[in-house]
Amino acid sequence: MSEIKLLSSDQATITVEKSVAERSILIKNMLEDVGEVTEAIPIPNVNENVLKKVIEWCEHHKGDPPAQADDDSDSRKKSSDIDEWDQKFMQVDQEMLFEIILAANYLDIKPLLDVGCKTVANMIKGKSPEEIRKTFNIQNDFTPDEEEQIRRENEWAEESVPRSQPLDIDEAC
Amino acid sequence: MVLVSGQAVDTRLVKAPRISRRQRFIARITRNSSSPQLSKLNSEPPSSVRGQYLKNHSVSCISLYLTRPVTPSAERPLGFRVAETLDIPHHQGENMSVGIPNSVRRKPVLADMWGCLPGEVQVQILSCLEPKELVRCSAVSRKWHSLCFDGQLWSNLDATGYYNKIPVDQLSRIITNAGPFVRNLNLRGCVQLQNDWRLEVVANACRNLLTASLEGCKFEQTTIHFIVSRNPRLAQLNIAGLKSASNRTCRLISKACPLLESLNVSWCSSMDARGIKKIVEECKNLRELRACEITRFNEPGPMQTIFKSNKLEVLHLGACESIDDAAIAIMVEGVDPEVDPFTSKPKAPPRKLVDLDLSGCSNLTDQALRSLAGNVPNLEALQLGGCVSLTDSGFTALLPTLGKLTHLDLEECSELTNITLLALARGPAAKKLEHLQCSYCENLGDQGMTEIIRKCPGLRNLEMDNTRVSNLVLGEAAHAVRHRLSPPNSPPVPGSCSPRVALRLVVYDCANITWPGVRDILTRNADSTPSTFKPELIQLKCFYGWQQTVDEHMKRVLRGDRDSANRLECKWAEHMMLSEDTTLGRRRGRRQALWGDGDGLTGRRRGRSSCVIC
Repeated sequence: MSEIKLLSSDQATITVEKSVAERSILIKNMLEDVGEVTEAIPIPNVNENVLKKVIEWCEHHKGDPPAQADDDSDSRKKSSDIDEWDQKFMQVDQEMLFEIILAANYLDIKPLLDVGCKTVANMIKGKSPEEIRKTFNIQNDFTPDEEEQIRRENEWAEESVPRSQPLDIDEAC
Repeated sequence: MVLVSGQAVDTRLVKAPRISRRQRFIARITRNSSSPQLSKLNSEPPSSVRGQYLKNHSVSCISLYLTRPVTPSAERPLGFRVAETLDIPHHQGENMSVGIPNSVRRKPVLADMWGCLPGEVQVQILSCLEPKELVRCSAVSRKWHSLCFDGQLWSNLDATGYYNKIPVDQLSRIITNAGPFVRNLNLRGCVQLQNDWRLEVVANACRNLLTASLEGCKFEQTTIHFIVSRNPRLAQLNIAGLKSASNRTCRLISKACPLLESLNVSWCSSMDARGIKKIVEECKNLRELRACEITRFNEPGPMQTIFKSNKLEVLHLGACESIDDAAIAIMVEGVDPEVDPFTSKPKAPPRKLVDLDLSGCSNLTDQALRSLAGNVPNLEALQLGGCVSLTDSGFTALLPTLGKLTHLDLEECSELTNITLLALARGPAAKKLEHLQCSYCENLGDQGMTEIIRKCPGLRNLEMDNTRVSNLVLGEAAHAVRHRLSPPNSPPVPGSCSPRVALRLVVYDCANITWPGVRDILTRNADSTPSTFKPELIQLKCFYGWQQTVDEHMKRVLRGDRDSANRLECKWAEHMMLSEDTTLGRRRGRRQALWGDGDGLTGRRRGRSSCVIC
């Protein structure tokens, strides 16, 4: 079992099994191009904490079957189908979550990127625009008139999606 | 105030608008850039390493990385993190950075993490949302507004969840915006587009459709022609119920959409079988044809074309009254087929049909079934509901030749007797059968049905309302489910596997089904004795006065609460026994009081009386 070294942006060297590191298509392609490497591979966009977190994910998922050819033609991906371990894994603060997504995007780890995107989508779901702005710290740059117009246009899409599933009220025997 | 490479930058002089322009510029670059991220704003590596990066990596990222604008922390708006180290690269490539003293350092404010994500990741996140949620998110900010209506997010434009709510201007704007991105368009029931001046723009916008469902849109013929002629790659087209579609539309489809695989023209009342003939001739890939209630199938042309092409796998011709025995014979054997001298049967290559719907073709007789016999070996679903003239003799000829049958619909074939059921149970498809519908076959009874339940282990749905079946069938079903599907190596333990519905029985309006039979099913469903426990349940639809109890019972069992289910069942049985002893009038009062069943007896229909009396 060969091992390789990764050098994070903040100069930490992390040793990792080659097969685990190869979950990253970027690293995999790099290793294929370069062949044997003894030096640490610099990962300039990812710091130590995030890199460790990403490697933790890769280690847990190293046995996964390779992702099937992704056909986006099928219906919208359901954001609810995140497996339990991944859900726990993603229970981190927002900054870390976005850093993981960025790292997954940079390192080209598609399944991790998917999980991250779904997690963020779940943060958006069921929130009002104002709550979304607060969550992601986004400035509302609409003029009051525009906002009113959009509110009117979007009226039909309101209500729907209950915040939480109503409790199944037990009918009296 | 920062000193860099001998340059004094008085940060107070930097005006706010200039900062925001710079920030916008950077933000735009960040958004446009692909993978390598520039977001590590607060974790810059020491300069020594940076030099190495410059040598080894593409300059575009790194140079931007280094030219991040320096902004005074005090004036920094929300959404930007305070860099721990501020530096401006010298134009000669040498850097010198000066750390900000601790006193000046501010606590990092929440960063605009969303803005740091590259555009394609933002799109990927939003692609996980439902259409309605996307529309709601568009109110967040200008950037989000344009992002949420990005065509990529609307390539599957399925209005199923909101077709009756969305106003015409927003729908047309979404479609026009997404235009060339839209691959799958489902506007089923969007009547608001009808007669709207924007419709032409909408029809013009989509040019890359693979599937289009315009069912019930009430479009004019010109609009349909517009859409059809602009989308040469259409594989699936559904224009069911469009009265304006005519044989001219068919001719246009046959010319404009050579790749068509699936077509639904049911209930297009201005169209007839001659138009369909043209399409079957020209569209060589056509596999699915749904043409319910279309006239003139009794002319030889259309059926002969279907025979010749022999490509169709799904053929729905429900309620086409013009279809008669001769038409079916032409469809499976052609005109004047060669006759095999040994069997004296016509010779024809086997049909590819998998799913055939002839329900409501009331002119069909046993002769049609005999024509089908032996010629449709791949048939999995056969619907003959409402073909009232069919009898046992036709089915005894056909059923033994159908080895793959999973769905059979015989509703209202009132001539049928148990002989047909026996033929089915002893036929080659018994092991495969999953769904049997024989409601209103009033001569069917226990003998045939128990045989079906015994011989068809895969049965999941059995509808036999308005037949003569009795409690015997319920008992047989309970026994069969108990003994089927049991994995030999691991006997199920209560609590280890969640209960699930294995068989659905529909037995309302069956005079011979009484409450003790129903009670047996309930008892079995709620059985939690470890030795006999089974997670497979029977779902029952019975006399509507009992249904509420049965449903509640099922709910409790599915929840795993078998004790409360048992309590309910006991209470119900007590009530039923009590009501047997009382007079009709008093019973009615009690039913109302106990079960809230307002019209306990008055609303009963034919065949139900004994349900309550027994």
